[in-house]
Amino acid sequence: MIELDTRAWLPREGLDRLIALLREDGRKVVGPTVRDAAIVYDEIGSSADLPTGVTDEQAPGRYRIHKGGNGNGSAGRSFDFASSPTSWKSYTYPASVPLARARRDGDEVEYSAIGHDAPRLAYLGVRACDIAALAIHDDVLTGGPYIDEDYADRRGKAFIVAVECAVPSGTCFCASMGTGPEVSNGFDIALTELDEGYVVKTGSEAGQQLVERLELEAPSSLQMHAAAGVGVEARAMMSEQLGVTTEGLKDRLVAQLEAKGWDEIAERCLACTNCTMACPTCFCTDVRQTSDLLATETVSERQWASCFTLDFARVAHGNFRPRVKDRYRQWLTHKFSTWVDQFGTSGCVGCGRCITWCPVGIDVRESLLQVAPLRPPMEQTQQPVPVSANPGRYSIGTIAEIWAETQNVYTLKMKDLPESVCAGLPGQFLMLDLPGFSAVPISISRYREDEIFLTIRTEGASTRAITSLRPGSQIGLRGPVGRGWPMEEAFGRDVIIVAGGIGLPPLRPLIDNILARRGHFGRVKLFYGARAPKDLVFTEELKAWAERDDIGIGVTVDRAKVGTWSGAVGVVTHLFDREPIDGSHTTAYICGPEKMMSAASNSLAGRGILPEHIYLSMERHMECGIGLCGHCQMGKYFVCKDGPVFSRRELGVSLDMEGL
Amino acid sequence: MALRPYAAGQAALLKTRAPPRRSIAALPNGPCAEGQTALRPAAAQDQRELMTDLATLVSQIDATWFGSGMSASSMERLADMAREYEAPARARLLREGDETKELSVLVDGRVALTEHVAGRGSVTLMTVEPGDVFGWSALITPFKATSTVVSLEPVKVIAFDAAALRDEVRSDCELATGIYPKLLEALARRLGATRHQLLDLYGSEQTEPW
Repeated sequence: MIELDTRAWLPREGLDRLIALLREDGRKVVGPTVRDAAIVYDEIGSSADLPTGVTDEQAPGRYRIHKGGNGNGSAGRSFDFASSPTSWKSYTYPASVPLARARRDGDEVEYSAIGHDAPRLAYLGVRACDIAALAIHDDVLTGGPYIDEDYADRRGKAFIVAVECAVPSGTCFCASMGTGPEVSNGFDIALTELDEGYVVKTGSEAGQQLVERLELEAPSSLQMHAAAGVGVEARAMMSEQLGVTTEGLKDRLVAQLEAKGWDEIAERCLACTNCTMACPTCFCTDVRQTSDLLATETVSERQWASCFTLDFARVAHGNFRPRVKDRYRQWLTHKFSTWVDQFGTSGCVGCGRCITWCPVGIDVRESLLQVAPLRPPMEQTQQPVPVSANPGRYSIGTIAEIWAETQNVYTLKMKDLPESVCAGLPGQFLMLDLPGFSAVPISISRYREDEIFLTIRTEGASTRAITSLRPGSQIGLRGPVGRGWPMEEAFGRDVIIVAGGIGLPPLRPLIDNILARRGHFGRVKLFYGARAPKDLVFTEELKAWAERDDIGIGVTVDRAKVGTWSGAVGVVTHLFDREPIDGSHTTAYICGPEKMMSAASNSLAGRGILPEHIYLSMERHMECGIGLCGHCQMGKYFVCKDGPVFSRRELGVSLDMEGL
Repeated sequence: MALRPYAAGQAALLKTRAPPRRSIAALPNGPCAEGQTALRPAAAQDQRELMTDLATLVSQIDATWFGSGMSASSMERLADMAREYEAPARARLLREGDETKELSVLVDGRVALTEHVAGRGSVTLMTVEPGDVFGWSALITPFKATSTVVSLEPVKVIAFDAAALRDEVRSDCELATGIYPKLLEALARRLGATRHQLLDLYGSEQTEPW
């Protein structure tokens, strides 16, 4: 009695014996064979029908087979190809299955089921991705509470001979979907093809019994070693091509239902439904009725349908998805996001068929990046910072000019800087140091070719000392550090910038960049509030921006003396809480006192801007600026390196939590 | 554009700029010239009555935040009690403590709600933007103005007779359900703003150790 998962060696000529045994058991054997310039799954009689020496070449919108080996000694191998145009779905969930008969006789109707009597089949050459697809269909179609009986019948009568993938194609990405390339379960027998034959693995009672009847020997250790290498090799080949980052994908996708990318893809998509027909997990069907002229005898059939068809979501009074963009979005978000909510796993197994068989070559791996781009996760934002890791060491910059913006806010123009400083990003900051005083984190308020501006409010000893310096004085600086304002999150969207008090300086580089690339954005508006008119910073700048017609400016103060100010008086949220805002197409950037940022982000969230599209800049006590001193912790984040810019979603409850 | 250095202590002065009709608050106008801090007294001569026909009044009211969502009949009733007027900048439209004779909706321009504090002069508590109301005390006892309302620039106002309005809302439920929620919302918004202004969030007593 061979134990489950024992290995055996099947020499190449032995495959015919395996096929013969399966047929003796009353099974038809379905396997890969060449037909019509493709490798398809069809009934085969012996190993002579297999695509021996044939390889495939797949790319978006391209499929070719090549006979005569692929030049690396595989002249005699039978499974050196990846996926087929259709999957095993053609056999487990055929395109057309009769369901029931109906009779209508005068006022009476009568229904009778059509019995299921599917043939007993053996599937030879099932890949890991397709096994995963069968498992998904098991979930969807037999997971309950209603069971598709025809599928259950066929599935129960299927004998699975899996095959390890040796040569993934250019469109394969099972590794990133976690479904392959190694075959691990869901099979009766698994074969790993080597030049001289196959290493056989059993995965079930039925498989065991069959292998016993074959009376095979154990494989040599060399053969075992070679077999183990097949999966490793396949995985390595796949790692060199584009995959899908599944982490956070489910949430990223639903956050981007209004992304412009959908329209761009839809312009190319023909809604031809090739992808859904080739896909091994798509399961949407129609129930079609065919009857004689008088509708006395009707047969209803279950037929493959596709969410890409115009009528798929049509009802009597209209169509819920009239545009190609609606339908493409439905397919992609269902496959990669809502499927997880419904069935607990992703709906995609990474077989790549939809990519190969799309006539216009739409690649879902790229589509996903287009509509739901990655935001580097927390751990990955830590790019090597060009600063010393020694919190006592600083680079040096010289003050070129210094002037007062208000009675306690000064701007320093710095020159003679290390290259890395001028190459910083909007929202980043420097740790500034004057020997003898504690270092302070100061946001860079403007970038120029080889100068930067630092805008500082005098609060304590350090800032008072720094702002008392003269042009020509040197200061120690470390940075730029921190995660800055993500400008690309606003491409193609309206932008709202809300600044409070000393919160405007960190936002100015963002405004500079947006104005420099104005065409990338929709409507852009800045709302700025300060304590009193004399506390407004960058007043010249504000006037200049107000004169432009490509940026809207709103300014308010908390208090003013009558006669000195005829502008708005009140809180900054009043500047926009009655403004027309298209929440689903707006990205917001907010900086100021925490309570003001909280009020502003609540107001904007109430207008439909999602928390992942609202960015805030946080502050905490900092000493090193590089995440080593521990002072700036805020919940799970280090504000100096995970921030200071965070999305509202990342902050969660931290924003309003007292004492955090 | 080069940034000019400021001498220490010099207040930030802003150039005068003619405000176009706008939907967001534009940069404010400049300071008064020396000696012009005194306001002109409230008087009918400051207000130029506009002979607007009923239909236009209704559509004007409908276009404001206050009037949006009100039923057509309510707006007609309001228009019956309404007058429209224009006033120049720095005109006093209502004085703190006086009986509020009208509930007003600002159609264009900007007005300041101010209070006089001994030793500090007149302080602006809040400004009101087009579409919003002032003189809400017209509907709530003791029907006396809680602040002085001054125009900061040329304004256009639609004002509803307070006594007539009070009478109407007592009997006309539909009008009442149109007006009171809006008033409540306006006051809630102001209360929230007042609280935040009270918190003095931009004040310098921040917990920054440097």
